[in-house]
Amino acid sequence: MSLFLSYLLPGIPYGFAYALMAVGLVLTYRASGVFNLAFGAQAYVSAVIFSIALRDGWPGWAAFVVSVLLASPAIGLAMERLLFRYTRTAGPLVKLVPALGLLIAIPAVTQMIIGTATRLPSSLVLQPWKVYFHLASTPVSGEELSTTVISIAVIAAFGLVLRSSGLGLRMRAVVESPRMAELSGVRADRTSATAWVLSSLLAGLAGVLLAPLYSTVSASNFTALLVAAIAAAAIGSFTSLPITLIGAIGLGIAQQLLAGYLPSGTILSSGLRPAFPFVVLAIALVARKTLRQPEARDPLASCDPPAVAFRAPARMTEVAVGSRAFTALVVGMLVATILVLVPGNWEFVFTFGIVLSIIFLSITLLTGMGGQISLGQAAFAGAGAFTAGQLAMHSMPVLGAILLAGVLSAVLGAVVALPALRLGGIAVGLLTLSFALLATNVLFLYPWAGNGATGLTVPRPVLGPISFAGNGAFFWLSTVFLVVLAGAVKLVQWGTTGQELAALRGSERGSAAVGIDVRRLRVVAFTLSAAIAGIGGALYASLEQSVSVNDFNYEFSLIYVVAVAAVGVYSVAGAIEAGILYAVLMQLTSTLPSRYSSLLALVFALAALTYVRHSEGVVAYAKAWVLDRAEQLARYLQAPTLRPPAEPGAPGAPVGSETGRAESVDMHAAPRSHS
Amino acid sequence: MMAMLAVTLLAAVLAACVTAPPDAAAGQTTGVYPKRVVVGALVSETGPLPALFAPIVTGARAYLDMVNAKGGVAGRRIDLATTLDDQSSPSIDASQARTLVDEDHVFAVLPVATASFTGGKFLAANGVPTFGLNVNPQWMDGPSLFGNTGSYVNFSPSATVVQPAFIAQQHHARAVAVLAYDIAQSEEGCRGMVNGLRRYHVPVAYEDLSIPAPASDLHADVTRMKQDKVDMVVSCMDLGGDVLLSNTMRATGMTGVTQLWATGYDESAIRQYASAMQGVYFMEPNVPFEVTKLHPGVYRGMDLFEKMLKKHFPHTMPSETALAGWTSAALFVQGLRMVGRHLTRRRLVHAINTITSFTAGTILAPVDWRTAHKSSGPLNCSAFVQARGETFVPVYGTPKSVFSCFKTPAPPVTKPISLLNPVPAGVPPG
Repeated sequence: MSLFLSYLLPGIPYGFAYALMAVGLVLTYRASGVFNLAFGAQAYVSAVIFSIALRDGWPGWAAFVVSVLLASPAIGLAMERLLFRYTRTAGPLVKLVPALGLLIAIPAVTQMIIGTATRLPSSLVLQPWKVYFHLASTPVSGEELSTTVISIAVIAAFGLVLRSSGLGLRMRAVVESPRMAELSGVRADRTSATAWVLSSLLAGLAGVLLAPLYSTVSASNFTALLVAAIAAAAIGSFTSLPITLIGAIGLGIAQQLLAGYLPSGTILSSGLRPAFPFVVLAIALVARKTLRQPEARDPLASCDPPAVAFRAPARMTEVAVGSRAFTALVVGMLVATILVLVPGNWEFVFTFGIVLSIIFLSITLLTGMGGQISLGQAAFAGAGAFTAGQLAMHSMPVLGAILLAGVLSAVLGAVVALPALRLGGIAVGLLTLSFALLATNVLFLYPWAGNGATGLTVPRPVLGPISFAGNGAFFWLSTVFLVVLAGAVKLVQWGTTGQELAALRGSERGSAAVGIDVRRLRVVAFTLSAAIAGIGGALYASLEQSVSVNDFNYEFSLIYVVAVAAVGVYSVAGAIEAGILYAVLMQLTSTLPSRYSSLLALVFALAALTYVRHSEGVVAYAKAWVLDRAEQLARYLQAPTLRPPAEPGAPGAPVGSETGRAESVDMHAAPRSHS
Repeated sequence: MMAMLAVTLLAAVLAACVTAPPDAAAGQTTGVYPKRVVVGALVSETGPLPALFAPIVTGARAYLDMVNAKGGVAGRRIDLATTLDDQSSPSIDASQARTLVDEDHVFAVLPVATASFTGGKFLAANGVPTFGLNVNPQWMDGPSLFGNTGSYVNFSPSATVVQPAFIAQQHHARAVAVLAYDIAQSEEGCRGMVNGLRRYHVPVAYEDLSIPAPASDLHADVTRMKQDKVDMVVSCMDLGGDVLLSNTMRATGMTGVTQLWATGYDESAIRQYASAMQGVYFMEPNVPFEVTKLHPGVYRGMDLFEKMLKKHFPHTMPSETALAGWTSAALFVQGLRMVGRHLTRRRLVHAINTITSFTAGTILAPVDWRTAHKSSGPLNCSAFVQARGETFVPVYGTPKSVFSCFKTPAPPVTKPISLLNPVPAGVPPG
């Protein structure tokens, strides 16, 4: 019993810190519909500011005021005012992509400002490691005591405000239904902003309280904190704050008990613990009906007009042909230059870009074409890479291993799709994220899979007399794979499946109403997408010749989605552009000082913030803008007389977007028709 | 439709094509110019454990600045022109190694301190002289790779490190716990220590070599250690993890435990975390920094290191990693002096591989570079220090021989034997 308590009691302060984050997450989610994945980053910023302030000799109260009461709420308020207030009626992807961007951007900016030096955490009150008293023979330290007491006090105060004050009443009303609250005269917009401020305060407090329990103040630790908070929020169905609180404490305790009772030094004990919250989340998502379509619980949700469907603008023949000819010319020059002039490392960089493009194609198919959010594509790529590695180790020709890796990843994709069948929107994303966490924390660590941090060796392929050992030869091989797979995705896009996926993206219920088998379609989309990611991962492994679990960390899944969404998620060209841009920027930023090492992620993350206004992606938007100008010029040259403005729906006229704003898009979603 | 992107990329490609330095001349050895030799560094400056690796550049710069201030070597200054960060990622490490050679056209890679050294294979295959912190097995990939204390890194399951057994015997430890991260260097390093403890019949009561890095919570480990009545802990984690371990032990009432840490021998660390580090032992492959105060003039290499570090980087405290940069640069410069004016990579590598007793000026236990790529030599030497108050104190040595050396391979025994009297050997005073 004493041993049981000695494992159980240290879990309680963790549970309360999870609860702080989870309560804030629920509040924000219900008030604005945004699943604020940047909460972890906000907690990190507060912990960093607090540590630096104390190191520089600030009094504890001043450090607390600046880091918790000012910085984190200010960030939250800025996020709401500048970004998320515009996404209330948008689809789940539009809400998710900027949140992902902020999750990446906030720590990156922090690192650029304060540098990359390791920061050991500081404690808020009491002497953190002093034993103050014993509870059932288990010593209770100052850190545990302060975290628990402060959390209880804050949550109790928060509960009191919600239950007994006018502000609380308004906030509860907005949490239940912003539309109904507005009908009752509540300014949902302002109340929502207040909810963001308060919830951000909770995130900052959780960051400062929990920091001393970590060995260093690092963003990844606080992402893990967010993961636990999401699971706790799911236990409370993203609605009930008391159940969320109980769930969070239960999670903290369960994690400690797992760490205590699982055999030490095993993959299960080291891996399952960080992944455990998402195992809970996955079970909750599948088992609880209320979580399957969490964003559709507002009784007046259907009052919002449906998102306007995309369509490709028809271009003048001269512009379309000219654009393609110019593209072909420059791409040809680019390829020729790569093969003849560039140093070996740049040849490698472009090959990496091509391989990455293949992995990004999987996101185009699943998210761009089908509207299904997946935050686990890096795990599918990892599955492909490790399958190829294992098969190559057992003497299978590498090319065959790459193809078989695609098959196995496809099977894995189908398996992941099955529990996702009944889910929608953000819930699918969370389920795939839990798969990615399980894969990187447990599955890929086994010797028969990814062999942990040591990884696997994957040689370059040989086809009869042709060896692809050299970087130049491998460039061609990767290009062939890209062309074939991009063509396959295009064929899917143009075919019946593509049309059905487009319908699914527009409205799942509408698709079902017109006779589309939505479940089958989802399985097909996940299977094809995972197969493409798996082949891309296997090619990546062969390109690098050695891969480990670190190459397919779940954080890459988030960055990949952000990169593709930022550049253009609706088109095959967008995936290729994102892949090449990612590789080139990675090389260009590699020579910068280390504090700017996150610049690559930051560039894409900032671009992702524009997703609210330009969901077609910044590059696609820029291309459409240029082509619009080219078309105007062509019209002017053809008939240099003043013409009336184009009618709505005519070539070049603005079309709607998912956000409901008028804009011109070019998303290649359907076969083009040229006037 | 990819025209805009392609134009941008074309510009990037063309920029990449013209990255050759302006004073490059046809037929010259890469990175060698009439008045300078260009080298580049490869370091994990970001990632989970940057503090373990980043200071190496400071140490190397201090040595090179000192040499350049005296006119360089054979009329050439040594220009540490580039420092690339591999972000602790294996794939980026390989990519950065290629960048240094193909794009930055360095003659040698100096210094290297990385979490994973996948670029080592490429550097070895191209015969690029490479110098740095030997914590990765890739250092054994070729004769042009020179680790700071030899290139032999034994990560085999049977590797044996006997120093923890020595400390355990000194303290009559009855139950030892060994903790490491799930990172190859940490895990394999500690596995060798477990083997060493078992070989000398020291009971290993608790073992967790798969702690996710950076450490985030060690309550469960410490509770188990307490249950197992552990009285000595060996840790292969980083400073943050070690401090967290020590603090968690305190918070759970586990006091009076002997601790041996693989890292953390750092003056700035003990000033900040004195309470957590009290009594902790460290084993060093080099002469302890404290000899400069305790025995001034005896170890002149260490005296010089501290003097130059203070001169060129007055705000940097001496650390193991900075010293690894210094000794790596010292080996490179010694090789340059042996080759003279007609410098090529092949000649430099050949020259260094004939050195029989490299000590970096009485800082290291002697390294025989004729064999140091493939074996650890007949003796494995360490200097032990212990944290006391806000300083470190050398222990188990004499002023003229701070090293305690153990025979390698450690002789197998069938019954407990005493390691109380290790083979006396050491760096001859300067």
